[in-house]
Amino acid sequence: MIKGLWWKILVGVWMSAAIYCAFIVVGPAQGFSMNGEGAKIIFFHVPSAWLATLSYVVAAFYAIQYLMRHNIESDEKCATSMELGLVFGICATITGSIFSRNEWGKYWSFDPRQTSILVILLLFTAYLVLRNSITEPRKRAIISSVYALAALPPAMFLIWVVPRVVESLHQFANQAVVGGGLGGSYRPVLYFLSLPAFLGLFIWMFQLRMQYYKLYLLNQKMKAEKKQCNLK
Amino acid sequence: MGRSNAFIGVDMVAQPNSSQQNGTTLSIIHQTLLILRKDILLELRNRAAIQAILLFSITTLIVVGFSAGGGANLPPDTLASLLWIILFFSAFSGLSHVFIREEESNTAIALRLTSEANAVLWGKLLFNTLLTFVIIIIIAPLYFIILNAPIVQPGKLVLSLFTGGIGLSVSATIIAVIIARSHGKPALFGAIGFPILLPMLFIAVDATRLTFQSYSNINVLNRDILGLASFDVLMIVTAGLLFPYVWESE
Repeated sequence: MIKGLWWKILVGVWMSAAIYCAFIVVGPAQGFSMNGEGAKIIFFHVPSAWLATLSYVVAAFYAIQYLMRHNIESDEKCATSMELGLVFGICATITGSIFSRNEWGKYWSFDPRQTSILVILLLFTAYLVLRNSITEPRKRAIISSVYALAALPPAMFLIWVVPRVVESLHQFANQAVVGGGLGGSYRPVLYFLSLPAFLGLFIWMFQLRMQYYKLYLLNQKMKAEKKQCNLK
Repeated sequence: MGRSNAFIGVDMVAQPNSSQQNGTTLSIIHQTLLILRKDILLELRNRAAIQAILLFSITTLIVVGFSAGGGANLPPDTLASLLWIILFFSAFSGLSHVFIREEESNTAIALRLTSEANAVLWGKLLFNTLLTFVIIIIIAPLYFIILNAPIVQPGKLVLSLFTGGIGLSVSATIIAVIIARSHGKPALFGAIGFPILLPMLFIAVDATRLTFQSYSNINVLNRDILGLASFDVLMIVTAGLLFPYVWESE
């Protein structure tokens, strides 16, 4: 938990810098649509996709923590992470579709990478549906943690193995980012501006969600106390 | 052992028998086999799971065969994916039975008292795997006959079906215990199991497709089968690690 106001302001400044650089400082890239302007979506698409993956890892970490220590807060953190993963996953899918439409002419072509992000979204949704279907907190915590961990190997398999083994359109885009096919200023902006900004946003959203949970607990407690007063 | 074998069901596991008389508890392998035996006997008694699965899969098979126009030459991709869709949905229509039955008849608590968690898992897993193999042995040949499948590499085809079948049953077993312990939301079973099984289904469809083509790359096929086998091992280990937590929860 990071306290204070300073880092929130920092995230704001960082994000503004990332947006400014993405649209104004960085030039168009060779070999992309719209005279190379189409490549600029990677400043928002790539961090969203990475955060979707990261949130699954964080969720799995808290699931393990719950199973080891049995504190209900870990389970809540796990669920929060899954929810954020769903949000970022949807962002990555939408930005990816827009890019795909511009580059390859179709919004959706069941490319291995697209299929795998779709299945990851299904996993997040399945987790949340399963979790919401159980009302008793302890039982809900155990069952959803176990489900999150049971789905971990298939999820990692989809993220890391399937798109690399099966041939995909995405490899061209991947090579451009990782292999340095893009112009000089692309990678620094992506790694040092846009990615940390998105990471800060993730932590901020995570904390807000946990604060909401604490308020919810407080509310429950006050309600229970009120009931007891009325009974007396 | 002696006469206690005559009792079927949870009673049998609970019966003190010769190996417990000299102070030692049953080994895990022994317990596993007893649970497997109990489940097979219960299944043979009313045949609920196998009938449900068979009815479902044969109906789907007939629908698929009919709509494909009977003996039409489908391309290998379609043949392989239809076969795995049939197997996936038939497996998921019945494999949750092993744990839901224990919860419905309130025998889960007795089972938890008398045997170790891992023995329960391996017993149920073996039972589900047997059931899946029975389904595959019945459905796959029928499917190939009805749809005129051109089988080029029968050995590899059997291997891909069986490694895929193991993956199907392991994933279904771990999802089944999750569903059973969350007190009966059977409608969720398919929805929750689907994302877990999808990566395996991708490879299984690919492997099966390659066995229908004479010009397919043997290295890719071997890699697919190896991938299926490693997925099986991965899921078996995951199931073994996670099962005690769900099974022993209140």
